[in-house]
Amino acid sequence: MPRIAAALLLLALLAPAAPADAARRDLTYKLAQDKLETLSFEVEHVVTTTFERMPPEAEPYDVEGLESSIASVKVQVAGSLERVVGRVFRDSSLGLVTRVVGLAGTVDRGQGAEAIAFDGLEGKSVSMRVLDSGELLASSGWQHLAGAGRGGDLVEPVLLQSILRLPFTVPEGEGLIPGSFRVRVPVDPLLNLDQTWTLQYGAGEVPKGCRRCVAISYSGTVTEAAEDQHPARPMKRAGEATVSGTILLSGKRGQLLEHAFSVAWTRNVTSHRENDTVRGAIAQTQTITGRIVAGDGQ
Amino acid sequence: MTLRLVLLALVLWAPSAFAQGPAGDPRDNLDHPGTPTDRYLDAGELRDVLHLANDSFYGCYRKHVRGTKEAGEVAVRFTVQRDGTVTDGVAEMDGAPESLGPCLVDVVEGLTFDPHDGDPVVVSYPLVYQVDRKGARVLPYPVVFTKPRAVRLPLLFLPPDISPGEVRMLERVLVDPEGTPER
Repeated sequence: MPRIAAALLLLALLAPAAPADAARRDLTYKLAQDKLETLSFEVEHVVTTTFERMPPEAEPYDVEGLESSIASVKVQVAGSLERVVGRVFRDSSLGLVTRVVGLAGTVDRGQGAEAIAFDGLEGKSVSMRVLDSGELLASSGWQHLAGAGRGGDLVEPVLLQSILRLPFTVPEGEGLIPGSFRVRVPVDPLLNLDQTWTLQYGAGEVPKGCRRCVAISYSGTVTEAAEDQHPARPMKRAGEATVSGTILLSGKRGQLLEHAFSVAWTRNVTSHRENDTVRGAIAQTQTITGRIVAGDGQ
Repeated sequence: MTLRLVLLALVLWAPSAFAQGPAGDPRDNLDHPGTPTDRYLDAGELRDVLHLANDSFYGCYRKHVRGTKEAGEVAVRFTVQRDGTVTDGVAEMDGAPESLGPCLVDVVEGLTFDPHDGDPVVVSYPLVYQVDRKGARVLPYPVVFTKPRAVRLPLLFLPPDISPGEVRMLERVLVDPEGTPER
């Protein structure tokens, strides 16, 4: 009998862990695998920029004029995400293609809001390999959105928040469920944005009339570290953020109905010389307030 | 009995342990050429379509370069639009008969690529015409040349309406080793 027990124990140890985890999880996204899902969004970015240290190379330029023109920027963007499950991988993770469409917005650099065109951003997509818990396993396509003048950093938080990691179970009462995870955004082979999210999930308020809906509120911190190893742009960025939001699902294994979120970043960006000494330093704060709603937002 | 159970456990466990894992195959990468989750054109996808058109390219050579061993250095340049159609076809001829150019342009402008989400892709593809004991043929060139868009200052949040001049100034100040103004 002890031998049989030992053998069964060995079998249990050798059994793969993932299916057991999956069985315990009772809160997941339901991602439609046979149709296009539309989510509308609106997001506002309020950004301040301070040139903390400029190198001698800046002397011939009107850097003060440039600094004042980007010192305080407010951008509002509205549009839609169209997403579809393009592939189911062998580990049951899903290859999600999310496209940003119907973009419209304004920018205010202190001179009043002006409409902006998003020609370079309209229709661009990001592919994300995710588990139905929202765990981001891999992603690609960010280089087509990233970079100055492209506007990708306006929609990057929306794309990531559209599939934010869920807790294992639905929080109840006053109880909080801790969660910590890492998110990697590979901009190109020489640049990854690595974020560590530390959250506390709690029960959210379900709107009246939303039957079987589940609301999860969360708050916490995000830290970020990125080093650009491209020889034409040797820069580093370190940042910290406070984050909060509420996710509304149609059920425990439900579709995303709404996600309201707020992220407040403090970032230090430095550029470096070949000997790795700091060349220029810029401090930025960025407050992002957004809302993603299922359907056309009506 | 125990030994049998252990052996059974090993038999059950071994295939999953030694088989290629879920992410162990390049085809499982999101951006692997041709994977349905990748919505951008890769050089490999461009090359595959061009290789399929190899007989048509050879048809042009057979018609316009017949009897000539030296067909010069030829490349076709074209743009793949987001819907997969080809525009702006140009044949870059160096020593080849001029009548060959329009024929090659007709071939590339008749090609259709997969629709994609990226910017229009400018492609350059060399054509290698070879005549030897095996006969005349166009060799499928293994490389397709595309020019990727430069990602500029991706770690800085900059207003979406920032002018190219302002971006260039920031690059010169922050990262350009030659950061002195043009006079």
